[in-house]
Amino acid sequence: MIRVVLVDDHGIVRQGVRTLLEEQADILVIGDCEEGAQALTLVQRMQPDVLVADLMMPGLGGLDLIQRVRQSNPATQVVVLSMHANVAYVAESLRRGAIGYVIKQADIRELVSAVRAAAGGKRHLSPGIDEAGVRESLRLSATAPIDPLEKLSQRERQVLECVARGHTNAEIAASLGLSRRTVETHRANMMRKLGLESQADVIRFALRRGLLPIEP
Amino acid sequence: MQTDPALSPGTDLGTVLNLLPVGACMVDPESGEILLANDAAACILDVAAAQDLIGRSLLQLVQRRRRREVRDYLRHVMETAPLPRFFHERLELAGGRQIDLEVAAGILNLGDRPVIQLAFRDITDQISAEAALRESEALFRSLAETTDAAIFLFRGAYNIHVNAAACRITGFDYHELVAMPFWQILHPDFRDLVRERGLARQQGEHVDSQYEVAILTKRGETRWLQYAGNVIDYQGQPAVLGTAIDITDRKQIEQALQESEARFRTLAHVSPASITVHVDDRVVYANPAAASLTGLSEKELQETDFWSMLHPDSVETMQRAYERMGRGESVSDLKLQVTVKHSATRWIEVNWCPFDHQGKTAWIITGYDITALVEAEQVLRNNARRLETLSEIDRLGLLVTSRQEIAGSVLELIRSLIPCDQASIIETDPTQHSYVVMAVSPLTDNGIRPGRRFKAVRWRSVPEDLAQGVYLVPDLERLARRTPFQKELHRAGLRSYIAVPLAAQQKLLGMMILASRQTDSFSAQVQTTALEVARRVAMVLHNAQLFGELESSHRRLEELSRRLVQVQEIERRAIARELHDEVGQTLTALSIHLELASRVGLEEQAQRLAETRRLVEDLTDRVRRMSLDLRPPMLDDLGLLPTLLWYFDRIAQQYRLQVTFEHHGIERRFDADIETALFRIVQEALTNVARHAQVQTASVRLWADSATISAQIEDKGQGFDPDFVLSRNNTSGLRGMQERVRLLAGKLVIEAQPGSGACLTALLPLHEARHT
Repeated sequence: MIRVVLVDDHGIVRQGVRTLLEEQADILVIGDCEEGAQALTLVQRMQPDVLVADLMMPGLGGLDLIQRVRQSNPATQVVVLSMHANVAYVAESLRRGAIGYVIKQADIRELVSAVRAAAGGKRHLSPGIDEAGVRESLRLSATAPIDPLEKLSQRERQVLECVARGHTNAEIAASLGLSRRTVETHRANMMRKLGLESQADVIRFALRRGLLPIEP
Repeated sequence: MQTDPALSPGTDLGTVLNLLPVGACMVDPESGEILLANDAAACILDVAAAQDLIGRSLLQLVQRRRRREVRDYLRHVMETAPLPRFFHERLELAGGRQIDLEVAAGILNLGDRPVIQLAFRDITDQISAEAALRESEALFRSLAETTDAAIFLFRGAYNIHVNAAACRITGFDYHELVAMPFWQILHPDFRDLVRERGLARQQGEHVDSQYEVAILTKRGETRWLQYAGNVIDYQGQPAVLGTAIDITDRKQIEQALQESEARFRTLAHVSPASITVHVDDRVVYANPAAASLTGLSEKELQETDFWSMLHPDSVETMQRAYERMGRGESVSDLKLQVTVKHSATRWIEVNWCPFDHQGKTAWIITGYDITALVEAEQVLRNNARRLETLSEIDRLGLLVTSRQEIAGSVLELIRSLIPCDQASIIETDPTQHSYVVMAVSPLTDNGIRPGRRFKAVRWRSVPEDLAQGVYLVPDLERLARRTPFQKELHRAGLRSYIAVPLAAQQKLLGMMILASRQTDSFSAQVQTTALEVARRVAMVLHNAQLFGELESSHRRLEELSRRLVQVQEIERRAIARELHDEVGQTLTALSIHLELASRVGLEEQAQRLAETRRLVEDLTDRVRRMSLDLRPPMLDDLGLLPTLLWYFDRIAQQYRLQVTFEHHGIERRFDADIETALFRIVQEALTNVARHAQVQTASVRLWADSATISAQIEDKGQGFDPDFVLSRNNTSGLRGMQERVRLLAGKLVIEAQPGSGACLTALLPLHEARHT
């Protein structure tokens, strides 16, 4: 028997889904509610196998609910029932720990398959969902350090190279046609952005990044 | 002369007599015939040789009238026995010369008859000297008795003689004085002195023969004598003749004077007030306070003319006082400024008090150094005026909003506070590297006039060095090179000036120029005042500028909201049309289909319903797209990162623009306005790239730390001229981006050049760093 808790702020939808699920012999809806916080309490009390949750709810939203449930009750799998087929929503739901994603507009009976898959620890996404897009989105949303060099403005990059070559502010100002004060400002911003503290740091950075040729 | 037993009877008597140092002869008592004589006798008696005397009568040797005396003498010798050993005789020789002889006579038996033996010595000179002395002594005594000077004649410790004046002065009588040691009348304080002098004199040292001593009279009074001592020969022996004049009265006056002067000097010496005594416009006395006040020594003061020390500003005051002094009036509490050593000036309060000095009017001048007081007063007065000016400036700032007007009025105020020939305010124009004259006072027809622009010779974008202090040009004439502005000042006949920075919030707004026709006419104090005033002026001008900016930003906001309303209306119109055209039509179609479905048979019904379902799906899709276009709900639901990812996907489909996306630290939620702003900036920038840059790729980078979030959109496309695009005030979206960033207190850096791509970087502060 798959024990299910249902949360959806739309009463009609909730009622429909409950009816649909209860028709199944292997599924038992042990509770439903209309709001995220209630759902969390319910899950913690009832320890269901599967939580069927809408994403868009007042109060504690679906995305946060997924995360909280996965943290407090890892045994409870979450299936999202959403009107959004957008990969962003799907990817975000998966990232937060959902195992299934069912679009409301799709054949609602598909939900039954998703709940069964979830209970078995298997992922189920509605057929309309761009699975490749979701994978790409998940990949892209993973944070990656940005090359600090990219953060520099063109001027700051020029100043960086000049500083690394050992030019003084006055020389840099002359060669770039800027005022000395401007060069000083660029230089300070550049060093702050790169997290460098001295000219030696600048030279090391420039060497490592190949901005300075290593001469014999 | 008696027979010397040592002589043998055979010895020639004449030979013996000739050995004697005295005249000797033997005379017959009856006839007076000289029986024997020696050479010395011949010499005394004016005869050539002893031989010539023998046989002659003694009587013949003397004047005729004296012969009887000689005869009597001889008789007297014969009759008187024993004879006095020595006696004195006076003879008048035949030649008329009188001689005095000291004679010893004896009776000698020569053979059987007695003869008179005479031995004699010429004492004529001695007698005459004694007589002269007696005469002089008599003169001295009579003189001594009549003079007012006391005379003490003493030998050893005792007075031998004193005169009447000595008795009168000392109060002792003659006998008392003669009986006491001379030093006894000396005042005890002088005994040692006199003793030392005496000792020194005896040792042959040179000692002043005159000095003043005090004595004690018999009644115990102190009297002062001016004493002169000389060693004289008195009665054949050295004695000291002391003469003394009673100078007690003079001495007492002198002492009284000295005491009063000493009191004056002591007082004057310790007096904190400067005290000088002037006779004939010359300083004859100056106390230490006077020296310290003027920095001159007493000697220097004596050589300094008082008038030359007067500060030019005080000459007139002094002249008026001098007229009053000329009438012998005393002058008090006169405040004068004097120039002392090292050209320093000091304020003194002076009192002139006249007094009689040997028939002339002399002045005692007392002066107090009131420099600190006067300076404090001046500082107070200046402060009051400065405060007044500052509050006037503040008031101007509240009443007037035009910066030119403020600058003009401010200059009027400043000129009343700081004397100068021309004051001006010039504004910096960093975009043109130049200065523009904002206001001038007074307005003349020289080259400094409002609106005139001066190109900077050497522009400094952040002239912090200027913003910190006053720039002083003491003499334009002596500048090797002059800037255009300086040339204009110089041409206008101005010689020196100060440029005071007008800086607010680390930004140089301009400068306040105070110029003078004189060289070196701005003292350090004036500079300080100018700097202080300039700060206030800068603040007021800055406020006016901010107010102006506020107004223009207000106008911009109005413009923005007007545009927003326009856009809103356009969007509403589009939505209305879409709802009406698309959604409405579809719903109508749906309604028809459902109506049809209810009427037809089961088989056809299934087909109708399938058709209906397709319409519903189509409608759902349409509604979703509409909502996404208006505002992606995922921005609210999911946040910035998923929305951007979605958007990049969409723009790739829509415009065939591939976005390389890098991010760090943004996989969390930010304030809705931050997320919206960044999303719109990225959206706007990428739309621009897609539409204008003619490239297929762009890079987007987002990174955030605890304080800031930055977004950077870069492309290698056609690029553009930011100034040109911004100035066109069109729909490029750059201005919209600027507004969004400005509203969130962020910074937008636009780096773009026609032909070499573009890079936009937006930086927004997070949390408390932000103030909207």
